[in-house]
Amino acid sequence: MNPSRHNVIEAINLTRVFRDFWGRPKVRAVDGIDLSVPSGGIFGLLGPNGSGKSTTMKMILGLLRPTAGTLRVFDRPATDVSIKERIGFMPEESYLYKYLTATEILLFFASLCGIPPSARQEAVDSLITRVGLERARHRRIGEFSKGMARRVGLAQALLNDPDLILLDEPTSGLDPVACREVKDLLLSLSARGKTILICSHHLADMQDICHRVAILLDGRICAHGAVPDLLHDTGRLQLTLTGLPPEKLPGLLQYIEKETGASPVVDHSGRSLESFYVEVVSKRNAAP
Amino acid sequence: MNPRHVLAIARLTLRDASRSRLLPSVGFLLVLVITGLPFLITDSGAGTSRMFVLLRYSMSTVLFLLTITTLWASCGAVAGDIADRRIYLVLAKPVRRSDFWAGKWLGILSMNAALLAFAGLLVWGMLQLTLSRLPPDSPERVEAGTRLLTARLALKPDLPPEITDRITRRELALRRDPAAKGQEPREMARQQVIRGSMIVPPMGTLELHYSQVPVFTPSQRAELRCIIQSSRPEGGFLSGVWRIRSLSGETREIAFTNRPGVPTRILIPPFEKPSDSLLISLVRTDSGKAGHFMLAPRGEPPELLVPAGSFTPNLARALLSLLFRLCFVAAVGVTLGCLLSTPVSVFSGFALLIVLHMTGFVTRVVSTGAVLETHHGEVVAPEGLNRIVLHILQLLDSVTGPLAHLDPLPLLADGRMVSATFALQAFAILAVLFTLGAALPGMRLFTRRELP
Ligand SMILES: Nc1ncnc2c1ncn2[C@@H]1O[C@H](COP(=O)(O)OP(=O)(O)OP(=O)(O)O)[C@@H](O)[C@H]1O
Ligand SMILES: [Mg+2]
Repeated sequence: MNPSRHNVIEAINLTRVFRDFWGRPKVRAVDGIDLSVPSGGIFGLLGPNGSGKSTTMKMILGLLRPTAGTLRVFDRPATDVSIKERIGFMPEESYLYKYLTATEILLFFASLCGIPPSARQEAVDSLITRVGLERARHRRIGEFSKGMARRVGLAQALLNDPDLILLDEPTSGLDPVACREVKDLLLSLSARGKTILICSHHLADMQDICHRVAILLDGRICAHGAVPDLLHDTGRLQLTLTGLPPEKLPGLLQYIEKETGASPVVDHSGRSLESFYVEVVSKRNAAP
Repeated sequence: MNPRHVLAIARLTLRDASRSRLLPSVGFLLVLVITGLPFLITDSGAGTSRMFVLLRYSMSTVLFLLTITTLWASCGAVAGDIADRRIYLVLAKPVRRSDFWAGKWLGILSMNAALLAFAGLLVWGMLQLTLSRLPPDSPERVEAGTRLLTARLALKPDLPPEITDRITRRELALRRDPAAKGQEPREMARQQVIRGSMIVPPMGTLELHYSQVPVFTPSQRAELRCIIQSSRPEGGFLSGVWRIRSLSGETREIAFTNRPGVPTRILIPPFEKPSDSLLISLVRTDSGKAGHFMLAPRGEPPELLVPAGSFTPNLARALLSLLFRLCFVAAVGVTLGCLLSTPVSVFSGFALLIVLHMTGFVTRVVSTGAVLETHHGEVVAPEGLNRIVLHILQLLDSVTGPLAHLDPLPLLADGRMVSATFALQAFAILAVLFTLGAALPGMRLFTRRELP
């Protein structure tokens, strides 16, 4: 069977060179990458600043044309307008019309997505609730904080219930609770069979949700694969004990050392700051 | 193209533009120009001159302002969206670039069409207000109704049979000898013939026959316009009587005394019965010191302006022709904005408009070799570089020349008919320019443009 049937995005030797005014090559932003994003699951694109993540996304969206190589999305050329019906995109910054309100702008994108007028308001309302902007729905975007604008950006990406969701740094600027909510949202979307491609620098977040990752460096892929495979370390094991009386610890350590010959490292694992923060904030929000 | 997308983008553009400061500030300027200019410019304080200023200067300023606004807003709306990356979100949806182009164009155009309609209504309201303040049956009111708030046709006199005969023979000769055609264009020959015929010797009489005069009510008046020159420079005053006879035999006489070269404008007193043809005679009553009277020194025979319609539809047609112009300007702006940054596109848009405006004038200057048009129409042959420049200018002029004739404002301020044909012609020419000069290349280039 044709492998590309399973891959939502299929790039072969994808290259993008930025040129200066005179046509001389200036930067090789993407340098001959082979990338296949399988249908379903969350795919993380990692890499330092300027490694070519956003450039790759723009090529997938047809905003930039590859200098060399082939790129197919849903088995069509990336510049084909019709595939956009199945794509949702959230850019790395929130580029929005600042004189419009959140509701107005989402209604606008809803009409571009071809949602029938009768269903538009409902679709927009439910997304506004989902991204937590109920209280700001009639305020102008120009007055929004960065995180609020990011939420509008996320909402518009999900309007058409896309099969492929491209998110460029989706959690940047979001508060930890919103970050958690976004991650949960993405996991639930992925559970519904959507394909999600994320660029991000938040490795902890990426480890939480990504099924597969690729690491870009200077426009080249230097590692890629399923997350459990990449992080699997057979020689290391973590043992978690809750409610162990402190006086029993030395005996236990001695026993392990005698039996295995390896000396164990003791680490009092506290809670993560994230889980603590989420708990505090949700308690405050729940209080009347 | 998807009309739903185009409409959605247009609505958004309109909303975004209407909430920025641009719309209120342009609206304020329009009000200022329309209500303020008539009081600033008129010295006499007369109602009719205020009305004239409204129709001529306020309207021109309105057009100028709206042209700038349209160009500025259309360049900014597109180039701004690209520079601020807002376009990413739009193009990530199933939207064609041509939909984006058309939506932006429609949005900006509707904003400016609304401003134009607002300005037109305000002008109309100011005119009605000024008119209502004039005492009924006062000469000022008659003047306003006859010369400003009307739509008049301009009639040319029928040529006497022997002159028509001479023109026909001349044309036949030209057709037989094509070489002569280039040296002496038909129109020039025709005008020479007419000019020769409009000489009135001392004690002489000139008869002009106007046929196909549209029927107008007795309360309306026709106006005769001409310029009389004297064959002697030191001739002094010219005097005579205009005698106007209708088909039913009614006669009106108006005596005149004029300096040579001063435009004569004569309101013809009303006739009892309408007449579809008029015989107008000029009878000289002066001493003959002025030598020959020469009518139509520039080849334009005396004109008879006859009421043929009412003012409000005329204003509407004029506004419509202006709207076609704004359509074109908006298309130029959107196309430039699709390809260049905001400042560069605005600058090149203005440069283009200035070139469109100036070529006719510059071509004349270069081709005559002087800033002032020579009175006798002498053409000094250009040399060297000038000849190349002249060819380029003439080429430009062949495009912009027809555009210059599409300005309805001089007609409007003179109480002349802005005919449906005129509006249609404006539409046709601007539609061709719109499509070939702006829309098609704009959409094509924009579709091929990358948006990094
Ligand atoms: N329009 C452009 N013109 C020239 N060079 C560009 C352009 N856009 C991106 N680049 C270059 O391409 C390279 C990759 O940029 P890209 O935006 O894809 O990086 P990134 O991985 O998204 O970085 P970040 O993590 O900072 O968002 C960089 O060296 C950048 O300077
Ligand atoms: Mg980036």
